Amino acid sequence: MRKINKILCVVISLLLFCQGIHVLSFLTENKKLSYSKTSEFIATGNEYDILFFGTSHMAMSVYPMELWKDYGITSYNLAGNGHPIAASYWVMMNAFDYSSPKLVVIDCYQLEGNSKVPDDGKFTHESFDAFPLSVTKYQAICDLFENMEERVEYLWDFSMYHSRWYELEHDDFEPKYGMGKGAYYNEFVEVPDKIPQIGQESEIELNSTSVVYLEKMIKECKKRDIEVLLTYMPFPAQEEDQLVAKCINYIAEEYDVNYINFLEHGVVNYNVDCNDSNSHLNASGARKVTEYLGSYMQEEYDIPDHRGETEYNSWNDDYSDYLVYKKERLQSKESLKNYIMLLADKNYSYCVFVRKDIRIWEDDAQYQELFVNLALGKTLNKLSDSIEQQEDYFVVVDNENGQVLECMGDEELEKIATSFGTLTYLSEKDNRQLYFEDNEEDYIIEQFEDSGEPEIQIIVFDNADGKIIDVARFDETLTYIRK
Amino acid sequence: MLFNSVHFLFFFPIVVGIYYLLPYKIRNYWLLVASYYFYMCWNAKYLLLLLFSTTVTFVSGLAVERIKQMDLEERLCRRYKKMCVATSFILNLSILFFFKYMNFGMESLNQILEKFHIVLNTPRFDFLLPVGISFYTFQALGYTVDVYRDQIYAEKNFFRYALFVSFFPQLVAGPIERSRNLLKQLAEQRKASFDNFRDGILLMLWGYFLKVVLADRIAIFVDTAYGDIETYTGTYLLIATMLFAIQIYCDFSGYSVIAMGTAKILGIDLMENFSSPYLSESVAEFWRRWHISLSGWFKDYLYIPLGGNRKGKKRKYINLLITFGVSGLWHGANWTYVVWGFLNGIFQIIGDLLLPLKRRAVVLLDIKTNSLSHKMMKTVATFLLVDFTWIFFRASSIRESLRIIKRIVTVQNPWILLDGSLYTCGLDQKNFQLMIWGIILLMTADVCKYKGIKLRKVIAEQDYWAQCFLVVVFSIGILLFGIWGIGYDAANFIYFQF
Repeated sequence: MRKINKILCVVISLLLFCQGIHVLSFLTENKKLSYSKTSEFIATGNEYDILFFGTSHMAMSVYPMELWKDYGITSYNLAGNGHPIAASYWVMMNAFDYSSPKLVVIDCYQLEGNSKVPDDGKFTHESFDAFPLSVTKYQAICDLFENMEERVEYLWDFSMYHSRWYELEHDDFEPKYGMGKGAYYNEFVEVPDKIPQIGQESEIELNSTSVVYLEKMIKECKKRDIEVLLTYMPFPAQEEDQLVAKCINYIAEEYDVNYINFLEHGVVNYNVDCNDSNSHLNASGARKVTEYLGSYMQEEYDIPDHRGETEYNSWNDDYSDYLVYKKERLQSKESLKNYIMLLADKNYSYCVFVRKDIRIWEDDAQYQELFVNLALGKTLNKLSDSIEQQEDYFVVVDNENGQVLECMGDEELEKIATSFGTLTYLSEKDNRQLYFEDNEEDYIIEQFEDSGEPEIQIIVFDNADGKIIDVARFDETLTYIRK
Repeated sequence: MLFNSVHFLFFFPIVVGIYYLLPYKIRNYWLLVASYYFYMCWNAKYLLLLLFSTTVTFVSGLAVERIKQMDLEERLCRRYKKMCVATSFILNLSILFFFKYMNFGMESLNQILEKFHIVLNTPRFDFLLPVGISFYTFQALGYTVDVYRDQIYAEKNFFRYALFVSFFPQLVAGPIERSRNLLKQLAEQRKASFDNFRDGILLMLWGYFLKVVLADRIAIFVDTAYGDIETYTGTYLLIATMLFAIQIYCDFSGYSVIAMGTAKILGIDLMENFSSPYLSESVAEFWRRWHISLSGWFKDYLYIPLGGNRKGKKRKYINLLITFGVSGLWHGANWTYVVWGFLNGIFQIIGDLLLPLKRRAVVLLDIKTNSLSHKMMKTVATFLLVDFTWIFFRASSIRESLRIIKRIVTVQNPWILLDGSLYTCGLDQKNFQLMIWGIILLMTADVCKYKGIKLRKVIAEQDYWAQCFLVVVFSIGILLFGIWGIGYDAANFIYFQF
């Protein structure tokens, strides 16, 4: 009896120990990394028809929530920062333990590389920590790392996170999934590096570890009857990147899969769509790529539209949350460039007024392109003239109805019908006013009262309900004036 | 392989598992294989040194035994025995000197000659110090002397003797075991028992607590302060110096306790190496409680052979200085260690010289020597004296030690204790507070030990479930609050360099 008692105590202790460590591992995990990125996918893996893999180029270029809104496509972006293809291969293998997609999209950036893991271990943690310990995860870590200490670090991430005990907060106990189904939302605008032209005949031969793993990815997908689409996401690519992108055509041909080399498509305008000078797209660029890709995938593959299906109702809630997130990000911007880049979104309509004496055009040519970008592909006829003639400029971009209305100098807009109401714009000679026609007294938009100072004023409307969601005012120094 | 490495977490359970599955007769062979593997994890080539030391001392032991059995006249017998012991000492100490002190000796010689404008181009040997060489050399030499003194019979089984020298729990940082304790146990049959496992695990957990929760956390503060003494002056350095005393205690006693725990699980009792040293009421008492196995070694094999206190006061003081000077040198090939050793010897001599005065003062002032306040005063004074010597131990040169002392004495910035500045010295507020709580726990355990309360016995008297629960909570606590894992470069135990 005494012996049984001892054995029971030891067994229960071991179980208690394991459970205790399990709970602490969860609590101490840095939720801003892997949990935020991947946990939602693990919890709902069976919902996804398309999975995206690759580096940050992919993670920052494709927004699954936009694909849902426009095409009813259910997708998840599992691409990770600095991921060599080998790491993407193992993320994909782990993902297949939870999901059986119809299409896998692989971005081939850094296909010439031989490393298996990102330079910064944080990125590997970001991609793998959320996956529970499994045979596949064990195989992944053993393949990616040779050193035992490193393997332990990734297989048992408590070895890294336990030191977070003193910074635990509410979100560690009740964590929330990240916004946007794995995609990263970039909010900055940079002037791109100069892009060199390569000769038509220029080619290189690819013979790298990454190619081996890309082939493994394609074969694995084919084995599982999953379609594969290869991409090379747009960015200000240098010569070698362009040659690599070109070379992928041969791999696509060999394995009979589709390939989109975005470097050869004019989908984005690098002058306004770069988050940094030489690598990533910002939200504006990502929306363009997402739109293009969505349309392409719908045409080329048999991807169902799940909008309206009751079992996908939660996607509408997620989309609402995504919109709230985007609005908050827009409202938080205090730089004019970043603000108007994020504003170029079909979810919003906007009125923009630029006073004639504001001096932004001469100093920085990027501003004009960013203003043109606000029209989302439509033409702004009077912007150039107003700049040339140094006149006031006013534009209404109604993305809900697809109309753009402009005026410059003393021109005025009277009783124009928009998706957010009937508007009247009076110019400086009539004490500049902007108001809804229905009730002049109540609906004068006070922010449009002329301050007499050089400034830019922007009023943003939510297309969903026509309500104003933000009013931004930038003075001569382009400083945001908070109302 | 460090006790706080992932490698050891795999190594030890495998060794224990196989050990208890094997028949008694071959368990020692298995432990020998495991011990050699453990040592080779640092540097496989240096196993040859370990084997050499083992063989020399084993043969010298047998030779002494053989001479004892020969029908020789006593004078001749003693001479031959001495020759055997001397050969063993010369060979072993030559290796120790070559690897540990050659460069130091050459540099010191050059510095002296430079004063006479003599330039000597001596080569510098760039090799790694064999891990634990000071420990196993002293343990093996102790065996030779024990055989010479008839305190034990020479071991006939080479493999058992090799295990005695290389037993992995205490191979690289002690305790320096006595042959009469360890060899005897290695010859016995050892069974797996719940009590041994429980005691072993408790000891290991306490050791890990001292090492990874306390020593390595304190080290962050101490390294930050000592690494930039221009910025962290005055009170910062004072606190860092006091914390270093606790760091080195936690570090070294942590290792010793883990060694005791691992050995206990294997059914072997190693000697206790520390016994609440900072509760000592004199420097002499401190050295009876600090690194007991080394202090005992020097006492038995150096101080007493030199004459100890049997040849008058003057000779006693000289013997003390020699013993502590050598002890300092044993700790490292640097003059800072020699100064550290001498200071400890000098403090003891002064204490001895002042004893009559102290006794007279006690009578004159009617001091109650048994009162708590009196004892505490002595304890604090002893701690401060010992802590002062640690400055030389921690600093990289005597000049740096003096600079640190100057900065502690001359810069006055006590407000850092109150305005939160302390939390800028490597540890933030929460980590600093955790460190303080850890030190309080350590002090409580030390006071209990000092008072003769055996905490392990108290735990053993509880129900099994309570014992197990305690082990679980303590294990999880160490894993959570310990300084380990990525970003944490499994800091070498301080004593490994010796």
